[in-house]
Amino acid sequence: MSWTSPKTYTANSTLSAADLNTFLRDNLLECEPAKAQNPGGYFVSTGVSAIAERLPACIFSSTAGTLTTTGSPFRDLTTGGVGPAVTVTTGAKAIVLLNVGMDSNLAAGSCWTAYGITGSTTLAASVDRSISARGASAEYKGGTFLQTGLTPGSNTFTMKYFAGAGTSSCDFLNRRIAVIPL
Amino acid sequence: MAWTSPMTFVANEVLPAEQLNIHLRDNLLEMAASKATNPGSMFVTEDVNSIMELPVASAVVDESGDTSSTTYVDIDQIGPQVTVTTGSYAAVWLFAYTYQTAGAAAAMSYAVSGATAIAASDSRSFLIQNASGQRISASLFHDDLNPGVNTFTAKYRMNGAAPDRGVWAGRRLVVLPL
Repeated sequence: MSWTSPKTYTANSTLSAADLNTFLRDNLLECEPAKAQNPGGYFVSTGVSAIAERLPACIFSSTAGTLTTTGSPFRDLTTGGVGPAVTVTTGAKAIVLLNVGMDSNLAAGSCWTAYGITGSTTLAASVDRSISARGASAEYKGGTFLQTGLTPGSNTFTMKYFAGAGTSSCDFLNRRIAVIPL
Repeated sequence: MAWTSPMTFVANEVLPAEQLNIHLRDNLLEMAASKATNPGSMFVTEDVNSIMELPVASAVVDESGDTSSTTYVDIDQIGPQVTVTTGSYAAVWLFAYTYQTAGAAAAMSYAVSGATAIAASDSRSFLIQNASGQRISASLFHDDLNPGVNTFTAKYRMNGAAPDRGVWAGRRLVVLPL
């Protein structure tokens, strides 16, 4: 069933069961309370006269990780585990939040954190959607990105890392990623 | 009143007022348009077949404050501080201009009080070392809140002992509750 633009009623016309089912029952079933299933969910447009409930997701890793392979591309850590990562159902857009501590083993070194996407969408991590720090003292930073161009469906967002010029290794601490799917 | 899954109407059956009140009136009163009161708010799921309106909230403290504390504390002009009704989730953003008068790093985090108690922590912070000053932010998210009224209060610390001292100005805290 789907939404049908409500009809205009006229005096002295018969109100049929079919009309009530189409314009009352079926339209109510397309509205937020009917679709509300998961506390913390919220509602987004999925097309003309259609909405869906979306649910955010986040994950945090307190395990310190190290990357000892320098240079592009963004990659998984050498130690400390892959990710972290979250899997959510999205439309064509999602808001992605990153927060992480980073430090290089050398004062002139730079360390970078981004995210890659797999699942319905395949998109490699990129400096265009990254945060970075420079130097041997740990810095904690965050960034928020509006990711567009997603293929609607189940998408996995995985934190990825890059040790830039001037360093031979980077540490990544208190790694956090959250996705608010749209 | 609460949401009732709409009935299927049958031809030639009498349509009593009671059924219209349950399936039309009461259901319409559960919808977003009926619950809308605060411009800029969002509608989130409170429970199965139940939605609620939640406003996005922010607070700003432009005045600068400083500390040499190595544990998270308040600084002059406490905050910023935001009190909102949340479900289990919330996105939180921190912004400030910060610099250090000596060598150690300066951090900004936040504590949660009210329905939930969470102490400020480096795991939910920004931390920066730059004597020249930087405008910097943190992007955080909670899935561990107790639903209800929660207060988010900015906290500050230095990552080194006195006389290292940090200064924070143009402080902002934004909460998007879900």
